[in-house]
Amino acid sequence: MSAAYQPNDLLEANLRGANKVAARLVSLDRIASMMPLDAEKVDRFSDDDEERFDAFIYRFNSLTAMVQDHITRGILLCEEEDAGGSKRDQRHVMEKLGALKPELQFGTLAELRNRIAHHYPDDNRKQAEIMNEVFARSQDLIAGYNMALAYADAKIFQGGLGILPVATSSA
Amino acid sequence: MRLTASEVDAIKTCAKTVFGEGVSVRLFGSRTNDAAAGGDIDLYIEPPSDELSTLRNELAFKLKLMDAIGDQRIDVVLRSPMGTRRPIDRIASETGIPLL
Repeated sequence: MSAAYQPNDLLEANLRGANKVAARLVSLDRIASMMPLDAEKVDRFSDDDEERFDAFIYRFNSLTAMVQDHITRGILLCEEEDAGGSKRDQRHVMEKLGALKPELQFGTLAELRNRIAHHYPDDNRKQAEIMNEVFARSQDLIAGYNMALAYADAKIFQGGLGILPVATSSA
Repeated sequence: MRLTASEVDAIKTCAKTVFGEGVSVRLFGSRTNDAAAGGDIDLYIEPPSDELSTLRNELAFKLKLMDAIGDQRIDVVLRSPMGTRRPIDRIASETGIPLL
C-alpha cells in the first residue's frame, strides 16, 4: 500500500515542474529580435517563425496554469486556507498571504491566457497584438512564479526547497 | 436592460478608471432584452483615443469589473483602433444601450 501524497509533496513537484517551464520561457532570444510584431510581420511568418511563437505561447499558457491552478492551490492547502473558492478568491488570498504581489495583476495574465484560446486566423493585427502582450507580460508571469516560489520556500519548506528562482530575461 | 444599478455604477467607475474620462460604454447583446434570462454582460467600449484601445486595458478593465461585481461572464468589445469598422462595431453601436 503506497502512502498518499501530502499537499506539500505535490506543491514541491509543481514548483519544480513550473521552474523548468519558466526557464524555457525566458529563452526568448529567437523571438525577441522580431518584437514588436505587427500585421505585416505576422503575414510574413515562415513555418519556423510560427513554430517558435507557438512554442512560446504554449509555455506561457502552461506556466500561467501551473501558477494559477496547481501552485496556488498547493500553497493554500499547505497554509490551511480556503482552496475551494473561485480563482479570483484564491488569488486574493495569495495576495493577502504575500505569495503574489497585487502590482503584478496576475488576474490579467489569466485573462490573457483565456484570450489566447480564441483564434483569429484571419486577423493578423489581432494576432500581433496578442503575441506582443504575451511577450510583454511574460516577465510579470515569471516574477509571479518566483514570488510564489520564494513564499513557499520560506513559509512552507523553511528554506529547504533548494529550487532557484528563474532569472528574468534581458529581453 | 438587465443590469442592477450597482452593476451599472461599477461599469462606469471601472471604465473611467482604466480608459479615462470621455470613454463611451454601451451594453449590447442578451442583457438588453428584459424578457430574456441569464447571458453574458456584453460591453462595447469606445476609449477617447486609439492609444487607450489596447488589449492590456481591456483585460485590466475586465478584471477590475469582476472584482467589483463578482464572477460574472463579461465580454468586452473595444472599438477597433485606427477607425477600422467591423460588423460588431456597427451592431453594438446601433443596438447597444448607452451606459456612459
